[in-house]
Amino acid sequence: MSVMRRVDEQKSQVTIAIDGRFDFAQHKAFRDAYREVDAKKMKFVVDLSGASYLDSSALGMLLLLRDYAGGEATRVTITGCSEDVRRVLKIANFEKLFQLD
Amino acid sequence: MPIPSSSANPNAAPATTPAAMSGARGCALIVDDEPSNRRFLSLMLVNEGFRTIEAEDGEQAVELFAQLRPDIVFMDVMMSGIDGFEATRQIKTLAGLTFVPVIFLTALTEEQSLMRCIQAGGDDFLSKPFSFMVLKARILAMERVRDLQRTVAAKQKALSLLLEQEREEQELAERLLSRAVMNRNVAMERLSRMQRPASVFNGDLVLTQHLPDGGLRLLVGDFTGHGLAAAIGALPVADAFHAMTRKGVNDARVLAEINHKLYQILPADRFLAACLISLSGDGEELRWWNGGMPSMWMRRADGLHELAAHALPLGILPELPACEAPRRIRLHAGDRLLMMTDGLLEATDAQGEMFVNAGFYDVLRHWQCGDAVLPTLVAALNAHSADMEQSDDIGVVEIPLDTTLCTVPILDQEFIPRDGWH
Repeated sequence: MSVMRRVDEQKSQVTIAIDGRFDFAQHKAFRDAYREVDAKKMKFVVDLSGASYLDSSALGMLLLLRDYAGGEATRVTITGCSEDVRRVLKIANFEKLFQLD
Repeated sequence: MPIPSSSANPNAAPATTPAAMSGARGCALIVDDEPSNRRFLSLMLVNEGFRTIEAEDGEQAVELFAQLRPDIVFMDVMMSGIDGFEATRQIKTLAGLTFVPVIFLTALTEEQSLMRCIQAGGDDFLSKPFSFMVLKARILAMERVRDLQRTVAAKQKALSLLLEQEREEQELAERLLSRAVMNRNVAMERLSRMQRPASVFNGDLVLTQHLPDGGLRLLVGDFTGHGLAAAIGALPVADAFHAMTRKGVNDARVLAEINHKLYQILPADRFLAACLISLSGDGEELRWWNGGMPSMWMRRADGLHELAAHALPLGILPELPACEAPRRIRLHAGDRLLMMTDGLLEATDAQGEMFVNAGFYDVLRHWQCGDAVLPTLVAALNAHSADMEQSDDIGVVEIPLDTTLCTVPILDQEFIPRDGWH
């Protein structure tokens, strides 16, 4: 289980990658990964290619990031969803709130 | 018995500081049948900052310990009456979970005897004659262990207090839910339900109420998060649901109101995934809305129909998008509906395989029109997750979509029964 952050200054992009189970245990690490980032200058990408599972508190954390990134105005991108992860996001209709790649 | 070696005579250089005089390091119990030994050790310990009390045999030691609860004990082995081993056993029993170091001061040298000191509950031993420097060092080491134990015990206490509070909150949440939320429900006996909470209040919500046309409206929801926060969210949801349904307010407006309330009160990361269905009073039409719940499944004569989530959960957006409006279906005799929370689909077996990928769809495929599917579903789930500890709440509701769910329409000269759609 880990939360990694990669900053690409040239693309003005911050990628937050989650490894293992994405659940309440990641809450602090996930928040720490974006709270210092200037949301006016940077775009956010959440890389879930290493995530094995997503629970509803993970959905909540994604909503917090969406809020931080500016809500409606800027779309947070979610990439690398496995079938199980995609199923959870699809049931919650999160493709209406996030850019799913 | 030999007296302590004179390598560090306490009288030679008494390091008498105000702290040392005040007994700031606590109370030391000295147990020895030789008065000169007791006096000698006492002098030295007072210089080190202890208050001292003295016992001349085992019985007196146990008695003094029980009365005065010293912080450290220095124990001789050979005494008349009960010996140092037995006295230590009794003292350790009296001390219970509190760590009080017992240091044996013994003339015994055989390893076997030293082993007995530890087995009796002693924490350390020093062979007489001992040097004061060694004794001072051992006391420091023991105090370190004692302080560590005290810190751990204090944290443990704080933790169990928190756990107790958490449990009380859970019970309060359960009470709120059962008394203020669930008790206004109707026709619950007509629903087949399975409810397996992983905690006292699980965040799963079932609300039912009759519409003025006699029809039934049902909401099955799943709050993110458990406990009190979820129960507090459930209160306004239940209020709006019951009041507006009895007035015949249409599905879309009830959903808009609930969404609005939750958007206002819940933090950004909390929401309510929910299915809302309304059965018309004549039993001929079903209206449904699915916001972020697993697909509902409807078994009818022409096959199995999936009512998949077409809307976002409630409480996320300030307004519900128009494209997420409720949908309608004509009903036929024998139609049945199955609703569930994601805990059912995600229940894992010993290999970590989820129920949705192992067995769930088999149950649906074998579901015959007009039959109840819940018993088969429960059996399949039990076989799948046998011996596994449940990690999430599981809620399943099965409903026969017929007029047995309905009630007599409200007849009032000034009131035209409304079906909650128009």
